[in-house]
Amino acid sequence: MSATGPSSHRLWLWFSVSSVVFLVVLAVSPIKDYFREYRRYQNEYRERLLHSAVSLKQLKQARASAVGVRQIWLPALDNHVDRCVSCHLGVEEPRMAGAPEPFRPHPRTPHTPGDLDRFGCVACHQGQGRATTVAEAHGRVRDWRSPILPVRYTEAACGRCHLGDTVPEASLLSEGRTLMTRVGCFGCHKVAGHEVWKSEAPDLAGLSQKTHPAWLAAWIRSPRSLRPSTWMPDFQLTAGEIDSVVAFLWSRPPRADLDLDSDSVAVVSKGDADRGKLLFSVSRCISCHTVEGKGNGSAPELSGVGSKVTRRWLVAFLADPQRFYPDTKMPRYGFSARDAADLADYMLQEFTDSSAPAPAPGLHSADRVVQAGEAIFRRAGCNGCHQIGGQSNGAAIGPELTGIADKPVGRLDFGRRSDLPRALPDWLAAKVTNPRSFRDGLKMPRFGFTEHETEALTMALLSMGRAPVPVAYQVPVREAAYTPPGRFGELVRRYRCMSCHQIGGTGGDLSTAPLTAEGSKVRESWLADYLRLPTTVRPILEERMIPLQMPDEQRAFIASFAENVLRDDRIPGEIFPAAPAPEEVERGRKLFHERYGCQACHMIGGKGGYYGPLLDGAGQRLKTGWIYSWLKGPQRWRADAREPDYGLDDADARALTAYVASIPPLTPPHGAATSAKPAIRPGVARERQP
Amino acid sequence: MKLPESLIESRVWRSIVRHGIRATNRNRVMAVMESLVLHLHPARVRRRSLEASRTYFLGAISLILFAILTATGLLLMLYYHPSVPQAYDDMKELQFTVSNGMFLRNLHRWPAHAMVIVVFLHMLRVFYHRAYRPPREFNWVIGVVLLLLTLLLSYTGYLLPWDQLAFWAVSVGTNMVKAMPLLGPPIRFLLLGGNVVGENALLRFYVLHCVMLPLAIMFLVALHLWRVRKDGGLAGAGRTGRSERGEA
Repeated sequence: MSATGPSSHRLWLWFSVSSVVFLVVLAVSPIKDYFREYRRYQNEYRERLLHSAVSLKQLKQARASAVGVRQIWLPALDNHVDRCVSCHLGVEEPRMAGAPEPFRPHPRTPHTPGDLDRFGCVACHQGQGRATTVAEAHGRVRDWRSPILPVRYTEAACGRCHLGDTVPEASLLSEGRTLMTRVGCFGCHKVAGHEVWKSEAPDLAGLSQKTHPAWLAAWIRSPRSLRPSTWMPDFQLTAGEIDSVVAFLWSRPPRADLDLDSDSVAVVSKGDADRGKLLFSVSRCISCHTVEGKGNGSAPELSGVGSKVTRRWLVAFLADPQRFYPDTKMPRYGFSARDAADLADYMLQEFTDSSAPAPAPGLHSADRVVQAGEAIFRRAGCNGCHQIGGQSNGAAIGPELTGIADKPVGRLDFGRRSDLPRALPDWLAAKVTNPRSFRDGLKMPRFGFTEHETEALTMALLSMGRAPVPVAYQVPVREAAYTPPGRFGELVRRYRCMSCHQIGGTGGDLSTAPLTAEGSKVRESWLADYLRLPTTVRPILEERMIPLQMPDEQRAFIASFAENVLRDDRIPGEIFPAAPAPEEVERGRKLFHERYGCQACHMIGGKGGYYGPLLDGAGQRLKTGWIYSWLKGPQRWRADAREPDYGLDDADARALTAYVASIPPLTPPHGAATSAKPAIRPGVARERQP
Repeated sequence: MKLPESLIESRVWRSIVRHGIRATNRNRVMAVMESLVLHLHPARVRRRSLEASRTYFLGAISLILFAILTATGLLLMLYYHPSVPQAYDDMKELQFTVSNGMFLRNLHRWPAHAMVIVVFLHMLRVFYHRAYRPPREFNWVIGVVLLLLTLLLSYTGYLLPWDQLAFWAVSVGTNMVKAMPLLGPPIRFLLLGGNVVGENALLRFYVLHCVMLPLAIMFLVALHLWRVRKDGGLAGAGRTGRSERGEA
């Protein structure tokens, strides 16, 4: 082919120019490749390593470090590849303490350092692990599903593996999860793993026997103004809607099993309010209830109760609460009919609320109003928490929350809230605080959460991932809850021991004394006596063991069951076959008072601190094997024990045990056994009276 | 450069290149007859056919783009697993860790877009030049099939990154197929290897994209080029097929 002619020349020109252009274009990519961000960080880190090297070995290591992508590959964790360590180079290097980001070492947590090659980075912090540029790695790019979690919410990630409500060392998350269960989120929102949630809200059957319509209307209008501690939210209903709901609830038939008009207990005539007052304080009601905010708060506030309930209902309830609510946490005291009447009259007299509406006669409404009320009751999701006569239609009127933590921000409805940053945590917090601010017609009521509660709830929501983590990473909810067996179980249920005490990790957390190894800890005789009249063991606590007025035979049975069954074989019985030698006791006394200063927290003979349990008569209460085992490492037996672990050697622990077991009681046990009145103890005087 | 006579006349050389190099007419004919490439390409091309306004080089550009796509596609296959979570991760690897990986991906992506456009333009050019008329009517049909194959290659390649765009595009596309009466649902089932856009669909689209469709397109392109030559060479503007026939 000849190379002459104008068209050929033009072609050659085109060819040369385009070749040069292509060459330049081709060079762009390798150049960009060469100037990747992590190279700069790695070079800077190398300089820092060289400067901080204190040995020849460290110097050699620093010199040998080559520039390149670094990664943590986790085939077992959904094939995660985290290249964060390409820039965050000092995460495991203590020498980098004080260095700026991205070089500084990771702060200490239960999983760092040490578990980095098990969890990587993204499992906790989110972001995009495979990325090697700053913006991409932190997930701050359009449409990346999980941008990096703000540090204040990192705890939420603990909850992806730790499936239980209580997550060790993640207090806010645990708080949030407990709160979710308590306030009733699961009544309206479905969440995988929480299908068998049980509401704490009372069954509404028999409402007309319990209270009066005016009070009910006032309550629905604003539950918090009648009882600030309630979790019942404000549904923002109009006055007409409230009247309809009240009419509906009033139209329900009374409970047939509670015939209060002919109940032998409920019809007891006028009680003695003064005696009731004494009973109220002796029974230590405020170990659980509050009166004007004072008290433990795990049971309802009582100050307005006199304006709420009918006398017949209250008398019958005090006599046997479990007849009213089979799942109540309230134990069944051994009150006689007269006790209940006295107590009820005291409460009705004392705990009235001047702002509550006066009792009005019964209510009869048209069917139309009742039907409208029922419609509102269902539409608002009341039946999500409240059953009526054991019937619940499983409201679930809210959207499912499973996987909410992995919802991409592009799929969130911000509605009117243009003030919010476009981020999931902010959206969740706003939803929790003010759910109806997003658009009109939303159903979620207003709970009035504090800022702290909002943060805790947001944390809990951010822990609800879409897909479960691999089984090897899951820390499951304890499989089988402990169920006390046989007759012991019957008594435990009747007295609701596990509302406060834990056995085998199951039960309430109100008491500081789990009963799992009670038989290895205390003496049978002491326990039987204690159940008759519980005395103060820990003066600092406001919540005290309540006197349940058990029959003698039941006390003896429980003590004997504990002695024989509630044991931990790791704890020896008695470590002194005979009485300990006086020299050993004396040595223990010195260790106690001089070396370890135990009296700073423990009181003996009215002297010493009141933080720890009283030690008067400790030998009558505790078994020496327990004292010894406890002293050797308190946290072995209770993870949250406040008593320091001094790392005692065997001889010191033995001597201390000998001394503690020899401390004499304040009043001889024989005296206490014959006295009918509660013994005056330093702690009892501190108890607040309503 | 002149190769030594002894080499050219050696048995090995002659077993590969059968004809001699002497510029005889016979050898010239043999060179065409025995060469794969030149067999498709006409032995003689008129200078006028090479002018840009004749064809705008659209067919040639398509062919070059196809070559680029084949080369870069083969390289991409070294980094790609057609399995469900891995496919998307492989995209990320290309983006973040493979040297010039993004460049490689873009070298496949942009030529793919360009090829669709250029093949369309090629069809328009042929249409407006009335080059579909006899004797080229069969080559027009082949061309239409090639256009379809190009579109199918583009569509099957769309699923492979396994991102949201891919997933929904294929969901929508296969649901459109389903809307066809009677045959729709079975065709969709056949395409997806099931009823959902999942792992089977990815594997099917991968095999279609990397093996079946490219083989089909290669065969038809060869036929297409060969037919260009057999049907009277490149057609230009304003010429009808019949008036041209005698000149070829």
